Amino acid sequence: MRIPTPEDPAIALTAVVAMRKEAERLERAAVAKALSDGWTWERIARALGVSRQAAHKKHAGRTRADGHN
Amino acid sequence: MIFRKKIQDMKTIAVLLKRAEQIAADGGIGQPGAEHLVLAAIELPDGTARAAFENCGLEASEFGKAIDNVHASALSAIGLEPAKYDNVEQTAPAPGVYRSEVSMQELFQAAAKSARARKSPFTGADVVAAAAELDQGIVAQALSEMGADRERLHFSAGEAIEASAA
Repeated sequence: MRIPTPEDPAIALTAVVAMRKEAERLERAAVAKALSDGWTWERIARALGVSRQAAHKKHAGRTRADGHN
Repeated sequence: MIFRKKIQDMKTIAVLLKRAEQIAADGGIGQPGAEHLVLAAIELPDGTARAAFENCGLEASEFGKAIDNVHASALSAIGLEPAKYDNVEQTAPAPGVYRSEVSMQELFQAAAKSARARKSPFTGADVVAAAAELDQGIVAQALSEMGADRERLHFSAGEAIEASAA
């Protein structure tokens, strides 16, 4: 993985948005897996570096099987 | 008459925003952005957003693919590829207050302002017209990926709006 330096801000900022989106998708999939593995909200929150309330608010909606990219 | 128009607009907008949220959630994204609003507009039963693309010789259904291509290209530029989440469970935000990214809020407000100024019903093409004016961000990049001429798309959206009001 090569992190672009901001010589071309258009490329760099587009990469930032894409990485942000991928990070969120990975987070949602990983938290869903953690929950199904029996992790507590507290443990998930510690792993994410957020409060238990914040983790719950972000992830407590119904889980869904994602059928597409 | 004005009251009935307002009620209809509220129904259309509720469907639009709810669908944008659903599309984003299906893709593992908690807060819908401008691109999800355009995708939702394309699905509106009024058909005007679709017509706006078709009047330019474009397939509205290609917009979703264009978004994916832009995303994949952006990651590829830094040596990554998008993860595949087929049949993988994902969480969603806790139900409650509707949340969206600023990009979607601004796109929606531009579309709504245009419809209000025109004093005719809010349509999917209003979203496409506003989207065609974006020169940065994923919507602009996806439109470019589709080969869309933004000025022509904006004009075409106007034609679709007029046709729907006739």
